[in-house]
Amino acid sequence: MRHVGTVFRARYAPGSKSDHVAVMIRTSNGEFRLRRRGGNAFQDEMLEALVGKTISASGQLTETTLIMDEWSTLSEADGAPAAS
Amino acid sequence: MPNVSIKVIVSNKGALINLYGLNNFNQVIDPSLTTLIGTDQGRFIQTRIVYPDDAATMNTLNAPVVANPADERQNKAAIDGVYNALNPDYLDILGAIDIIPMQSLINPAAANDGEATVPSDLPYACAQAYSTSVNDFIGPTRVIARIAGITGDASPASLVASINTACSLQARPAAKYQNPYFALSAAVWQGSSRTSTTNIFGNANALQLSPPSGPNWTNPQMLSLTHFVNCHGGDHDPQWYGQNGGGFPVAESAQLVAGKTAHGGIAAAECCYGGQLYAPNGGQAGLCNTYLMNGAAAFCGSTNIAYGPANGQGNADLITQYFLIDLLNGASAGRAMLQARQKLVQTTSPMNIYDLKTLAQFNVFGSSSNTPVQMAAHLAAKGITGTSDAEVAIAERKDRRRQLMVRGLELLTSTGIAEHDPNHRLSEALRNRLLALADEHGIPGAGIQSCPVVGGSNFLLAHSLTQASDTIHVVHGTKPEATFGKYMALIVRERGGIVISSELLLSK
Repeated sequence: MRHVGTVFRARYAPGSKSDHVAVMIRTSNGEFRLRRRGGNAFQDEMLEALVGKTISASGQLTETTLIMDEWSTLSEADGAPAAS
Repeated sequence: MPNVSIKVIVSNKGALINLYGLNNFNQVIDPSLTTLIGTDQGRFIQTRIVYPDDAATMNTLNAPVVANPADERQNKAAIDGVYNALNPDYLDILGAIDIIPMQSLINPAAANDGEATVPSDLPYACAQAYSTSVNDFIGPTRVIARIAGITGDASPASLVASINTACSLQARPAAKYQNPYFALSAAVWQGSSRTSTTNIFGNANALQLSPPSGPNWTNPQMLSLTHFVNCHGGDHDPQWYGQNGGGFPVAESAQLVAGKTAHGGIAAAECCYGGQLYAPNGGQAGLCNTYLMNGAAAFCGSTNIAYGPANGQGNADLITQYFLIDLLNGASAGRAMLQARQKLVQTTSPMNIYDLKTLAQFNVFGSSSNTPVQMAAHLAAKGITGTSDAEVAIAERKDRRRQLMVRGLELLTSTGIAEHDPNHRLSEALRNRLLALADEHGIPGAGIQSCPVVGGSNFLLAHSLTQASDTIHVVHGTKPEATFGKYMALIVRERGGIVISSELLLSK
């Protein structure tokens, strides 16, 4: 299953031991913390580069987190792959 | 009086066979358990395996059968039935969450962290019937722990490793566990960690900070028998992280820890998800499972997002240090966890939503009777003429169980809980005061959740006689477009219209 959504930054779980400004994804199923499998869960430059973009990703969705195995960037307007 | 202590190991035979296969069950798991039964006998512990999916056994115990291994209500009722029939000194849950599920309790802090439920073994430690409310489980009385394998892993190696640890563990003097120790903290939380480390070990000289240190720890550091970690952790993540400002370097990694920590070691992690038994699906298992694979005698950690202040002491700081301190004083893993849970309830009453989540989310792994540290000589059981050391030790264990049961029952009547009341009416003056406090802390568009403190009969009696009638208000606000501080909360304690204290939930 692929998950399509917009990547953004937000403070996550304030006051908790996970409290940080996280890279998140807003999909039709809700907002999730975004992570690359094997990547740093709190600081990942590859994820930072996705902020503001719409992506289509596959991976494991937990209650709070989308752990991506693979993803592609879509254009904001029509969902077509962005030129790279 | 029985001349042995009783341990019951509860597991689901059908689920074990389904995951590991009949051959592994018959040739690997069952023989390991037989060895454990024999070893325990030498410790004057009579150990019995009970499979709640075995109708014949459950009928003899007058306990309900588990027909669906994933059904939490059935598992709770079955374990209660087994406990009531056998009244054990120790109870082990054998297997990860796909063998005997944790109980899904409603997360009292869901509005803050977005987690709907808290996976928990706490209900199994309590006599109260099945419920999804943490409030119903504030009086734990049972010495329990979980011998955990790796969820979804068809190899029985991890499960058997923990059973073997229970077989081969021999208590050592406390000094070996106290020095050297391995304590690790995210640099931003060093204030709180220094206090915890000092409380546990008597000093914080060996406390490591990340950054700059880690994740390549030396062999002597890894081989220290006691590990205490206060770092960040992630969902389904085999790493823990430090922090200093905006940097979050890896502080400890399961891959680097595998095979490195000591057999018989003990560990407590404050980290979010530090005790999450996630299915690695062929990837790296979590640090909790890794410590246990290495032969840890006891591991205490959280199943999901945990809380604790940067500098003071609260929540995860408390339950983890209580656990380690009691282990270092010679308690078994199960008793140390029971005492830690009881102390947390006692210390934090009236409990707010974060205290309740903490109580639910921290669990202990390893056999409940694992006792890695020798009791101090002056406390150890001593026989008298005609009565052996062992007989006195068994009697003293029964005394402790009775005392812990009394304390647990007392907590049910003596603990206060802040319970959200949507119909609670605020005076105009108090509302303005709370909004002014919100403004002072930069909380925009503040909403107020009022939670009058309720509790058991003794608490309410004392509440009324002392006129110490508290209400806890959670003052919260959201900045939907903000990149930082999307949600903020202020916990305000009010008595008779007067604000007594306030605590802001802030980035650490």
